[in-house]
Amino acid sequence: MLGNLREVVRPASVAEAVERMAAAGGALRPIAGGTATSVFRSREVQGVLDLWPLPLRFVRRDGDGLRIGATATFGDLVRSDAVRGFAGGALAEAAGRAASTTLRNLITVGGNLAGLYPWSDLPPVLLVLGARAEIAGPAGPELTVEELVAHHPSRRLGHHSLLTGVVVPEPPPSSATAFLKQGESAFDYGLASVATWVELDGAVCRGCRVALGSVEPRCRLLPEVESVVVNQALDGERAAAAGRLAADAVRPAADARASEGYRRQLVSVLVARALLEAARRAGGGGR
Amino acid sequence: MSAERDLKVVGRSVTKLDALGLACGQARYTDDVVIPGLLHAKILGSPHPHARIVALDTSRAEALPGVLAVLDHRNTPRVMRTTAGQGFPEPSPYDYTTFDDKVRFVGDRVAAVAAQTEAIACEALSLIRVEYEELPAVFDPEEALGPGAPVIHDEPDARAAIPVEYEPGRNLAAHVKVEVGDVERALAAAERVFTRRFTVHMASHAMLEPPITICDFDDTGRLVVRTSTQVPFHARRIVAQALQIPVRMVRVVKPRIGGGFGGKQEVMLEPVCALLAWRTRCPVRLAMTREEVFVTARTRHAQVIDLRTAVDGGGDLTAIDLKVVMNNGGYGSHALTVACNTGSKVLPIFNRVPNQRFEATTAYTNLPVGGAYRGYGATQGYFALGVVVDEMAAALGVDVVDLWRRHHIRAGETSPIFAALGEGRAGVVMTVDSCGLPECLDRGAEAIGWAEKRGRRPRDGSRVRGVGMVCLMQGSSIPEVDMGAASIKLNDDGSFNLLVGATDLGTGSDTVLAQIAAEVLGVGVEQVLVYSSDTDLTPFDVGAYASSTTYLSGGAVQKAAADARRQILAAAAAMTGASLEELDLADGAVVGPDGRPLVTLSEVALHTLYAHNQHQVMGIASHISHRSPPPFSAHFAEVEVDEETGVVRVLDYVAAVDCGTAVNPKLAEGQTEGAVVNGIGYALTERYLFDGRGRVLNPSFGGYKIPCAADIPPVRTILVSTWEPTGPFGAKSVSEIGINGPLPAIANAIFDAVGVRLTDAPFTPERVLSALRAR
Amino acid sequence: MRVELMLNGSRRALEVEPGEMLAFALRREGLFGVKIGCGEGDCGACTVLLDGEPVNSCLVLAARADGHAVTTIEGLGTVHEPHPIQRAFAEEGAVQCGYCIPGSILSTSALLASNPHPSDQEILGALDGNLCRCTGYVKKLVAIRRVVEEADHER
Repeated sequence: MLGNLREVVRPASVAEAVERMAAAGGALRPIAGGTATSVFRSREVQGVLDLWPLPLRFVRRDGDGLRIGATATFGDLVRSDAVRGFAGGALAEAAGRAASTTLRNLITVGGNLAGLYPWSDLPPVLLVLGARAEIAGPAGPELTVEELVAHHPSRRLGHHSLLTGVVVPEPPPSSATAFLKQGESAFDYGLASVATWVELDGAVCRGCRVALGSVEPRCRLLPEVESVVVNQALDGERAAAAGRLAADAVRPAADARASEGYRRQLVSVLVARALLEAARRAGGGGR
Repeated sequence: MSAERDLKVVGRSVTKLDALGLACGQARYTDDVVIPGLLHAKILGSPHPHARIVALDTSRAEALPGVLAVLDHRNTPRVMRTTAGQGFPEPSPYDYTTFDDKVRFVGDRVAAVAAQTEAIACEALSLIRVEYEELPAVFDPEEALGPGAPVIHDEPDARAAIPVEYEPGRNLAAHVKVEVGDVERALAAAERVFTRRFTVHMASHAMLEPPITICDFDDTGRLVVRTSTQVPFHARRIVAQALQIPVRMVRVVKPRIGGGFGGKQEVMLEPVCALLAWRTRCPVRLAMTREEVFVTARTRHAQVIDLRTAVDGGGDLTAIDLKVVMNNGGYGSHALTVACNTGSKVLPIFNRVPNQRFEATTAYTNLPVGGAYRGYGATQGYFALGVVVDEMAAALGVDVVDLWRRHHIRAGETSPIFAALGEGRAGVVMTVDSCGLPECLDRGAEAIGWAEKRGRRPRDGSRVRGVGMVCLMQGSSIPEVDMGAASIKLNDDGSFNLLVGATDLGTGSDTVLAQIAAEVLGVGVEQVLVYSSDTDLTPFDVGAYASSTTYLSGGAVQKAAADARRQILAAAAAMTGASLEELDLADGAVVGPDGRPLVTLSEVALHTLYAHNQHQVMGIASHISHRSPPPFSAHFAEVEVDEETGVVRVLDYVAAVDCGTAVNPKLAEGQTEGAVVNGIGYALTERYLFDGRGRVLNPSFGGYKIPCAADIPPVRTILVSTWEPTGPFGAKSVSEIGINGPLPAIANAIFDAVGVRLTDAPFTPERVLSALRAR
Repeated sequence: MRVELMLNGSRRALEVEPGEMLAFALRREGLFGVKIGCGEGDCGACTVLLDGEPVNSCLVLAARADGHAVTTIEGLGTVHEPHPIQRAFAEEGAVQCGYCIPGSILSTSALLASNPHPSDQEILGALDGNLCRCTGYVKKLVAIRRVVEEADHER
């Protein structure tokens, strides 16, 4: 029971949603999946703005790439042929490894990104794919996901702007993504998660991006790792070296479940494996 | 009834009687009632691990509109007792009362509120002002037993109800020591001695339905306690005790329950709820939140185990020395009995080892409290024994399966431990009359592919595979202590109402008991209508624990049904003029020596109810067991270890189990499968995480990871059939033994794969990786 | 506030608090098959179908169900007319304490509606949000395979 809530508002349009949010200045919160109930439990929140009636639940693929509405659920991503076949499939993998089947039918792309929890599974993949966030309100019309998560997205969005969707540009051919996550069980918050994107030219890596999730308070790209891999043959040894670099670069937040040393080791292994997997997919013409 | 008789109902996998109702959501659990005027209760827990309550101000809470009662130590009776659901007088120390002026773990009970809504009750809790005098806290049992440790139970009225060792002044909650032969001499003379220390951790039952109690009044003013319990009769006794009212004023009813596994063999919520109801004269609902289940309900006891074994030149075991230090947390429920069971269920499996010693010491600490949890000490003990046996086999250069074969107890044998170690009293001399372990070993080894896989270490990149195994034995009921009773009456149409005190937690005991009755009475199981666990209507039963329902309660049902059978045959003899000795029951009728029906059960019923010499055909019987015949099991696990991440995956699991006659094979398999998966979670992922002040950091399913469907390996159960002469139709128990296998079998499989011996549970990836690095 | 929804196939109106979760609103309507195991979305005992998709109803504000369709276990079948999934679960020993069962069966029905021939991995994956402590999930797999076979037979 969220005893603090006085109203559930159903806006007729995105514009109305933004207007009402801004007017309420934090007392009215947009709600998509609503799985992070603690967000809505604080005393200053007096109502919620239900985003479900808005036309934001879509997944489309066109010549430019993927367009995903903010209230598309992780279940939608997993079930979408377009998403599963996109750039090697890491978007669907990340969505599919998050939480559980029932929760994935509630967790939304917008909520996972705008709420940006340490364990948010999708943003690392959005980072390596160079995705853009579409925003209604003063913070809009668009920010790169990288810009959005440089700090917690609430800093950009405030109570005045609403994430309405993401655009994932079509990556070049002979490139692909991979995603790996390790938790304690199959239905779990990650101890570490890694998203990679690799572009190959024969055996040589021409482009690479690596993002880490679940290890630090916010996910981020690791440009230092990328520079070690680009213009090199991406074999096991190079991938392992990249992994070790990542392990050194990461600053794990405290977690009672595992020591810093173990989590660094995990990062090292997952980065190496995800790089090799992305390369394998890129070499095989994607998935 | 001869052992050779063809069984018609027993041994069949009949559908569990309540299964369809449950599958359709129509079965009613405790909370599935609508009671006008129901009040909602909430409990205030302590933020400190160890403190005295110096001052309590509940005035603002009491003044809040909608609050009808606030209880704490000042306005409730102080009745020292145990929460453990055990036979009276209980072997667990009486160190607990409903509300005390001291708190002994973070979350321990301070006060309770009853209000018109849950929200008001929660608000009322926040208005209660408590002044604590914080005391030094201790979390390690050795430290707690050592000099200078803070005394957790310093109240003058804490006591042991039966003559057992109990020294709360040094935080000693229980102590037991037995020896046969001369262990020190044997260790000194041994060819080789193996020594290992093991740590086994605290765990949560994690049953899906949190404990919940609803108290109401009937129209004569008696208290009706509707509760999710494994022990309705103990609950009735203890509620009456706690409220200081006569037992006859209390009725306890158990509706459908959502699992227990020992976690509901504890009388925790009922007295609080009853006191609130009694005080307000209103119906009251008290439910645990999931967080409260993790923190304030009971847990599996953590133990430190030192195991030494000695082997002679011929490769025979000559001594076993098992030493346990057990952590009971803030209260002493099951402090003696779980400790005893670690020895009493483990040592006898090597009954011919002439020198055996067992010593267990249980300490109080300021942590969540240990209680009954499926396996009940044997889970911890078999980890130690199973790993050391594997180690011995490796050192001796023999197949560990053969080592088990050579040493395990056999049918017709006894162990001096049976008599030496009881549950707080002297044990019971007994021989093992049925032991299917040889067949369990044969069939289990074959099913897992033991010969093909052991020692091969096949590698796929950084992942290596291995197989491991263990043998197990448990018990069936607590002999000479526990009692179950049943009554069964005949209805007009030849059906029967079977009333049993025995408690079905979802285990299917109602069905199993119906099958036993149906077998005796020669009817189909659908003719037996079971009603259980209502202290007004059903005869006594200690409740569902100690693997006693099939064996003990089933024995009572068999006798009661036999009693009814005698009455039916006598009536039929009178009706037909046939001779009593010539009559039998089959297919819903009384049959003559040629097997042809003479009168139907319905005709007998109508005759006895209405026609002549009218009486209600009704059998009633009680049963106590005089022995605890062990089920036996051999478990085999195949694992894959990722040497880069330390992740252990179970690839395959086989549990071969001898439970005598499996009254309902599918249910026996279900018990085994559920126990095994629970055990796998216990071995790999489940653990309590604490901060430095004894506060649980992960009191949720999000933080405490039990296996989900996507985590399970294939699990195969092989039922090995033996005949236990003292059990109903040859049956023994099956519900606990399965949970004891995964910890040792997986540990041994990990050793087979990567050569590291893990002695600290659970085998988290970090632990495995550390061990690999230290290789 | 007033919520209008399709509930188990018929149009219903519920009076709910703005902050009330769907699971509790449904139980107040007498739909006791919706179970509360944790109240925080971790166990799946409260699973219902929302527009045909299995979700944790303890996390969904009741008010948001307005205009949507909700199916609880009671809407799937009864002891007099059980759904094949309910029958298979009961007969294959997949039901022990039963507390996780309504949620598990609803998740299963959603799976089979979109994937009539799931692999074992897909079956177990579809149940990953329905925690069970009694069965170890083993006989649930057996029961669901049986439902798939029976459905194939009928085709």
